[in-house]
Formats: sequence, structure tokens, C-alpha cells
Amino acid sequence: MIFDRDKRYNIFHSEFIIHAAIFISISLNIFSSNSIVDFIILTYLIIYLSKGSKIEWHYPLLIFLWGCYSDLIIGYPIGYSSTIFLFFLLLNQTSHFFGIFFIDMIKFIIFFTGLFLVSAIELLIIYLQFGTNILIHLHVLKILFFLIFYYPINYFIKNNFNLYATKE
Amino acid sequence: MRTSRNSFFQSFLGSQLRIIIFIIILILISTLLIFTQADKSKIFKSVESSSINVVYFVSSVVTTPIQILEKGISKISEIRNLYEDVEQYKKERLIESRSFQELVSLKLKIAEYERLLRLNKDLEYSFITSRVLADLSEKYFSSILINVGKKDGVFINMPITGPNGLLGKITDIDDSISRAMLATDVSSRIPVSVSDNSFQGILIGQNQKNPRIDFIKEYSEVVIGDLVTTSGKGGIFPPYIFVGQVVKKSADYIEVELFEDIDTLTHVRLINFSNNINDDF
Repeated sequence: MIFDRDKRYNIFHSEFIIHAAIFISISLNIFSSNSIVDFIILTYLIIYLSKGSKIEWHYPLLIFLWGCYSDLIIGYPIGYSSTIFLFFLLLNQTSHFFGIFFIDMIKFIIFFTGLFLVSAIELLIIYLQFGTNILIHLHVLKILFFLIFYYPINYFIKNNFNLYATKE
Repeated sequence: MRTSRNSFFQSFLGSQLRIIIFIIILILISTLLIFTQADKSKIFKSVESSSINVVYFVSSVVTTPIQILEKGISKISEIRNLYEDVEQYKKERLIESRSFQELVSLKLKIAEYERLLRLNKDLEYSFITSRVLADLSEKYFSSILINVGKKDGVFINMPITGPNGLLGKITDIDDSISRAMLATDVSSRIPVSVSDNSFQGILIGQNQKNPRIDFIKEYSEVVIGDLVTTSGKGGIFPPYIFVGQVVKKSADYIEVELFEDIDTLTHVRLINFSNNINDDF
């Protein structure tokens, strides 16, 4: 009984920290005018790494709402950031479903591939809709910059949020 | 024992799969939301406009410690540069005073010509000065937030400029905060004139410092260094506002370096262009 209460408290505690981190990293976009530091990529990283165990129904809904908040800040069409945030949550849950989420190297490769896929689709849509070629090297730099933080964030989350414990 | 373990395993898999399907459904809903905004429906536009104030307030509260730190660092570097600037200014003051006299005499001469041609009223516009609250110029859809809104008389498509030239136009307005789309935005299209011969073209944002010009018939006659100004066509931007200078000419497009750099600006000017037209008519 006492154990159950502790477990519930831990889950609430870890979820609170995750949502606070997502909230802050999205909010930071409004004050970042640097071409290399894009806090949206940090948000992708937090969403991808934050959930190692099975999630509840409300979690994807909250991620969807965070996406809407992000769109309102940046001025993108509503739904744009939600799609990408949920895509990274889907990657997380699918790799967890197949049991490969806890193999660090594969987890990293999946995130890296997902990030490049999202960037490629974004650039393709911009090219097709606006007929504009975007400088690819800047976007690669943005991605590479945040990949530096991958292992530190992964280490922090793994050691503080007890990802291996199932909620059931 | 084995059966109960199997059923537990199956129910776990089942619920996990349901969550994955739920995420996919949410992704589809988000994608649908994007497409429903393609026609710029009024509902989404009003949601975006009316939420700017709240969203800005919440974000600025959350990031206050980081802002203070950033401002502190930039103040230190500003003070460091100030001494060098003062020295430089002392050296240039003499030269500048002569240039200033030339400029004033030229302006008087132009005013005289305009008076003779009865043109003078056409190029004078009232304006509002506003502070830049947030710079989102590095995103695909480059924009800035400024601290004026409906109550200050701001309207959609109001042109914004800096001290040296054009920046963009207003796209969303709330009561006291507005969002302006910059000329570097991928969806920005501005009619411009190139060189003294007024070759007509369209300035297209490329999500980088230098936008490009397309649809110029006299492409071969444009040379590097030509001045680019607004043409006034389309009715959104007034004519003869400086935009930039041609810096590159490749096989299929012309690249323009903008005179105005939003990174260096703290304030912008909103030109009351539409009202000016209404006054005339």
C-alpha cells in the first residue's frame, strides 16, 4: 500500500518534471534568435527520451496541446508542431513496443533518422509549396548541435525517472 | 500459472497497441488541422490573433531568469563596445557634418522639385514606433512580435520598416501585441523595383538573410550593386522604400542583401500607408 502510494508519487513527480521541461523549452523559442540553437529540436529530444514505459491516454493529448501552444508562439499553422511532437512520441512507443528502446545505440539511431526524416519532409514541403530552396547546411548544423545533448539528457532521464519500471 | 501470465502479456500488448493507434489518430487530426488552415479561415485567424497576448505573457514569465541572464551578458558586451564607438564617432564627426550638410541641401532641392511637380504629399506617411518584443526570424516562417495592437490603430498588412529600409508587414493583431511577417519569410512576396530604370520584380523570402528576386523581364540588365526599392504595386507597401542591394546574380535568380537587419533592431516603424490613401481619396 505504502509502496503503491510512493510509486504514484514518483510517476506524478516525473511527469511534472517532463511537462515543465517541455513547457520551458517551447517558451524559450520566443527569445531565441540564433540560427543554430533551435529549442524546438530540444523539445523533440525531451519528448522522445522522456517515456521509457507504457504511457497513459492523457499523455499524447497533453503533447498535442503542447504542440498547439508551440504553434501559437512561433506563428506556424496550428497542428504543425503537434504532428511532429506526436511523431517522436510514436517513435518512442513503437520502439518500446518492439523492445528496442532500451538499447542505447539503436535508440539514438532511431531518433537521428527520425529527425532527418522530419527535416527532409519540411524542406520538401517548403520547396513544393513556396518554390524556395532552403539552406540545408544550417539545418544540419541545428540538428548536430542538439545531438550533443542527446547522451547527457538520456543519462539524466534514465537515472532520475526510473524508466525500466512499468506502471502496472 | 502460464495462462494467467499469457493473458497478462496479451492485455499489456493490447493496451500498448491501443495507445500507438491513439497517437496515430492524433497525428492525423493534427495534419487535418494544418490543411483546414490552408484557406486562412476566419476562426483560426482569430484564434491566432487573440492568443498572441496570453501566449507572450506566459512565455515571458516562464523564461524570465534566462532573459535576465541574457540581457546581463549583452549589456556587458554593449558597454565594452561603447568606448570604441565613442572614439570612432569622434573621428567621423567632421566627415559626417559635411555629409549632413550635403544631405540637407539635397533634401531641400528635392522638396523644391516636388513642390514644382506637385508631388510632395504623395510620399509622406504618418507612422507609429514600436518596440520589438520577440524575434522569431530564424524559423521557416520568420516573424517578430511588437508591442502595438488594435488599440494603437494597427491594421493587417501595415508595412513595417527600420531606420534603413523595409522589414515586412503586419499579419496578426491582438489588442496590444501584433505579429509581423518579415521579408525573409518563405511565404513573403513583395513587389519591388530594381535599379534606376525601375525593372519590376517580386522579392521572395528564402528563410535566410538574403531574399531573392524573381519575375524580372530585364534580367540581363540588372547588375550587382543595383538598388532595390518597393514598387508600390499591389497597394500594400508604399513606393520608393529602400529594401536592399543586389549582391549576387546566378543563372536563374538575383539575390538581394537587405539594408535592414532585424537582429540589430530594438524598435521598428509601422507606416500608416492605407490611411494615407484613404485621406487622398
